[in-house]
Amino acid sequence: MKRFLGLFRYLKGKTYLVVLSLVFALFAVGAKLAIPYLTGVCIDSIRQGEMKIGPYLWAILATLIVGAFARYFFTYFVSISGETIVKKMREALYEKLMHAPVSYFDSRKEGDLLLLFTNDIDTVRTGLVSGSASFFEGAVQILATIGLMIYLNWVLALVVVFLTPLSIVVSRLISKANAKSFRAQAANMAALSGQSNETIANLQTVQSYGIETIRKQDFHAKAKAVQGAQFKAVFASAWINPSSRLVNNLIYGAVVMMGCYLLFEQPAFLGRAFTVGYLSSFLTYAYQYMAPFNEVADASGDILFALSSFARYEETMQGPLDNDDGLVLTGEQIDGFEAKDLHFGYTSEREVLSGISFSIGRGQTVALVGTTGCGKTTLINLLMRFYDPSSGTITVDGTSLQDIPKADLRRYYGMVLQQPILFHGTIAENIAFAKPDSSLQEIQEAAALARADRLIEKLPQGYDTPVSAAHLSSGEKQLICLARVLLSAPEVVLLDEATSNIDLRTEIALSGGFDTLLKGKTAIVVAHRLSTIVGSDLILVMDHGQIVEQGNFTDLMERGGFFAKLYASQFQ
Amino acid sequence: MNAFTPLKKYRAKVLIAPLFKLIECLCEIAVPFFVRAIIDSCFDAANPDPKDLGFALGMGGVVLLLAFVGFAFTMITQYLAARVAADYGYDLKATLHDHLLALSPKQIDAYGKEKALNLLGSDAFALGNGVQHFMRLLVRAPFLTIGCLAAAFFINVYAGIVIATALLICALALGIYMKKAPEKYQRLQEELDRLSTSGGDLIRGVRVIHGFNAEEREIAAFSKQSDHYRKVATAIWRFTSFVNPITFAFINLALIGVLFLGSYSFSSTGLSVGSMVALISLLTQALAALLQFSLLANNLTKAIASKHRIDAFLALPLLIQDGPIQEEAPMEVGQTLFAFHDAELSFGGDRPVLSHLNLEIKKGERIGIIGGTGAGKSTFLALLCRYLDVTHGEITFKGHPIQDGTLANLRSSIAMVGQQGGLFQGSIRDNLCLGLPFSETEINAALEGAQAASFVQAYVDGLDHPLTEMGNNLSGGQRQRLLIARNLLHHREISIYDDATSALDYATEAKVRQAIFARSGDTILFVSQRVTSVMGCDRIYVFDNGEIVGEGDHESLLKGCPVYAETYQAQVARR
Repeated sequence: MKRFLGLFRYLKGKTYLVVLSLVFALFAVGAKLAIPYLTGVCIDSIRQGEMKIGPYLWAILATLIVGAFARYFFTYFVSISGETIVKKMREALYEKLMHAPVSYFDSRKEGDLLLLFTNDIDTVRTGLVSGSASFFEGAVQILATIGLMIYLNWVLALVVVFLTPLSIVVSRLISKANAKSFRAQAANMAALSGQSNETIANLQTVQSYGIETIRKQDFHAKAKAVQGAQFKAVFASAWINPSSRLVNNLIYGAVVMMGCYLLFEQPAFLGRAFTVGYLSSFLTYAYQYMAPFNEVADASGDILFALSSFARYEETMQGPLDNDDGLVLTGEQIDGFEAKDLHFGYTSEREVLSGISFSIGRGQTVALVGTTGCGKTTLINLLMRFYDPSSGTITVDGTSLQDIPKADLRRYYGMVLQQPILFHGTIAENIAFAKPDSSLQEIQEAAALARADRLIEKLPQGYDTPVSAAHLSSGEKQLICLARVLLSAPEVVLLDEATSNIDLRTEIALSGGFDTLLKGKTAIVVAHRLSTIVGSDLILVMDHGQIVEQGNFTDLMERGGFFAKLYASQFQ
Repeated sequence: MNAFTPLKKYRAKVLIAPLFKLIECLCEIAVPFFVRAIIDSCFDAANPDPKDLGFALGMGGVVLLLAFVGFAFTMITQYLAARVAADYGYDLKATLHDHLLALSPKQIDAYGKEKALNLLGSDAFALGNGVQHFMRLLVRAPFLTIGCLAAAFFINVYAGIVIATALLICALALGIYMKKAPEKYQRLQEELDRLSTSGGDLIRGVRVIHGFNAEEREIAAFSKQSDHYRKVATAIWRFTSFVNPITFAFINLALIGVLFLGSYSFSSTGLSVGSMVALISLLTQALAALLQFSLLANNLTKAIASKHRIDAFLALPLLIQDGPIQEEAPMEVGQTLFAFHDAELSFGGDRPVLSHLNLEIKKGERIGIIGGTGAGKSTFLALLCRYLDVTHGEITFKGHPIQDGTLANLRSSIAMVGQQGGLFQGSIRDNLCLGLPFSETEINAALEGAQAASFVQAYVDGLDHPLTEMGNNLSGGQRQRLLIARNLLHHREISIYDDATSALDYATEAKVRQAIFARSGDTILFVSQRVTSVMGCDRIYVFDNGEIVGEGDHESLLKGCPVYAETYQAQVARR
């Protein structure tokens, strides 16, 4: 309940919407129930030969107008409240994540976070907002109906109330049986989907080896299993509607019989006489009686489901914020980096960097070399301040990186990561990501420098092709990312295996563009390719979180140490 | 061929099922008449000879009995519907699967693999579900509505007219809703997809956003998107919220009409009290049926969307088809297998993907193909295997235009290892043999050649070691070696290796290559980005930007092809 009330925070100033919709719900239910009662009164009047039912008919007309308007505003306000909440929640989540530390993303599954944006927030809307509304409406209707029935005739009301559990028992039994069949169906469908996924991904292999028949047989066998399971599941759920209708019809029949008995006998303990009009009202109530029960049952399922979504959301919202308490602004340029005894681990158990020190001068090109897992990418993470060292410092011009506001530091940087990231939008927008106000000509020049121009020109809409429609390979994406950095022409360039999926010749062709870019700039490059390493001013050779050798290519080869061995194993 | 073609088999069941539903509806429509009989026979003051309690209880008993009868008959429909849903679902999937296997992999790439997978999964399911919903639920509503109307007219013509008018207006409102709603919801879904893409961009690209200080800009863009979503959603709710109040209002207007008629005609036309109670019952029933109908119709639109997708997929033409030439003469070493004459391939962009291809591949030749990313190497191979056909120029295979032969003949002469995939869930043996009977010795020889024997033997169950989906329980290098072993095992006229050794280290690759090239008389196409991998070939084609920029052996290319020489310089010379 406490959690539920947490929702109101996202209504900000629109709480009146909720109050209004509840009021309208009361009116809507009231009208719905008043009309059968008024109808009963009319029928009794007519039966007694009283033809002047005009006032009653006007009353019904007024009720139905009020009811119709109340129902419209009830539904509409509930929906609007839902949208208001959803919008606030989504934007709050987006902003929250934007200000979360990078480590937060690294420690979570991408899919889970993404589900928050879509499924979880949408579930909150359908469950907590619409669900609660129909729960409220249904509950009010049930209580009011019972109240009215007791008022009309408590004996008959008791008959109806006592028969209700019957339907609950029946639906329980059915849904229990259903759950099992649905699980079986889901498992079989998953197996079939895995099989077809393979066929689709390996279609070339299937066709070139002519194994269509084998795949077909396998598919048919799995589809047969689905067929069997699906029949069971569908048939199991097909009991629900007829059974609840059966129960409803039985209640209806019982009301008819009991009503007749009361009409004939008029038992004295009832006090008031039972009339045909009452019977008519009762019959309508009995007919409408089951619907709100189903509504409430559905809604409570939705609400429970949504509460867990909301809990996940709230947990994320309570997640950590990125610390950015730097105050010292940098000057016009950065004169180089100085690292002293850096220690760092993503978890406290395992240190990834243990005592790294180096000094990078302005305008130097530095290559980070080492086997997988030696800490190269981690070092880039620290330089970018995606993470901060657990001890030791990196300084620029004598100021620790941690004392500089992140945004101020990062305006000098341009980076390309191993995993090329393109955002939705066009190719041109992606190249201009760092400088959104670039002209098309600037974008094209950058693309040409990155050797991405030819591949872009082949796309159906050239630079205006949406990324989603471009079907780029990872090498091609890397070229776009390189163009992005070339366009922004930063002071410090960080490349983490930025060309790992680009073939060598293209990489060579690219180097011209990079020479232009890197002139006078500081570059720190994680590379596995010889060509990148050979030309750098300084090679930092890393192993197990430490710098084991440093120097230029000739020095290191002459030394015949770790680097020379690494070189031999990778390139010969 | 469309999505409903496989349904024809079940026509009888689809048509019979609603009849049983009809019986249930008749049972329900009959109930108000019994109530009317009770009220008019027992409680009509004007009736000179009222019936007793026994009669009333008897009638009530009939009402109870009808409930059971209706239930029994409707369950027959439910059974038939479930049967058809499952059986038709199976046939539909089989049809889709057949079509999938007949399409070119490139067509599937263009269509979208995810989308194709969804066709066999959620779309086929939605359509099967739609059919059974139609059989068991959707017919009920019209039956009940029409039945109630007929009953109302039978009781009293004027009352019938009143009720018919109200129902007609309700049906009209629902009809407008059902027509407009799907496209509106579709738009909302698109907005939601956009939001989710933005969320995904943030989650995946958080480093880039921070790296380029783009936080505030992205937040502003997201707020704008989110606000747009809200606007679209609000417009929908404003529209959909009308449905309930309208039906509520008109049904109750009809009720007022009935009561008015009752009061007016009590003496003249004889609309009895029992009739009025019965009419009110019928009205409530008809409304419930109509509402149910609109709810279900909403679900059906999902099935219809799936049907459209399936129809579109089944309508994809089989672009690559067999030609008339069934028999092909066996080829001698030195005869031309493939010849390209100014072949060109274009996907419709500004530049063709491949152009001016002129080359010959002779039986027994070892051809090297080298080129950068996007140079067109893999697309060239797709032309050889006829996953694509040229848009200009010509390719001949064994002397005839490649399109004139059968796909089976062409493809059974080629064994190819591609860049991705190629392995299936199943044992290593099954993955190697692919249904053909190879001996243990042959398999082991192939594994030896591909340098895969050691890791396969390291499994306790050896060749019977199970692979998971796509062979995901192997490393990249292990997968490549198994695929190469498969190629060696099947030993076809032409073997193609498309960057098939990229995950192997230099030493292993050299050994593997040795095994591949060891068989004399084989035609081999070896595609790579490494000069060292192709330098031993009889002839090397250098691809660059969709064209062949160099052709010859290693030595002549070093002299005559700058692209080749540069690549060589960068990869090898500095050693």
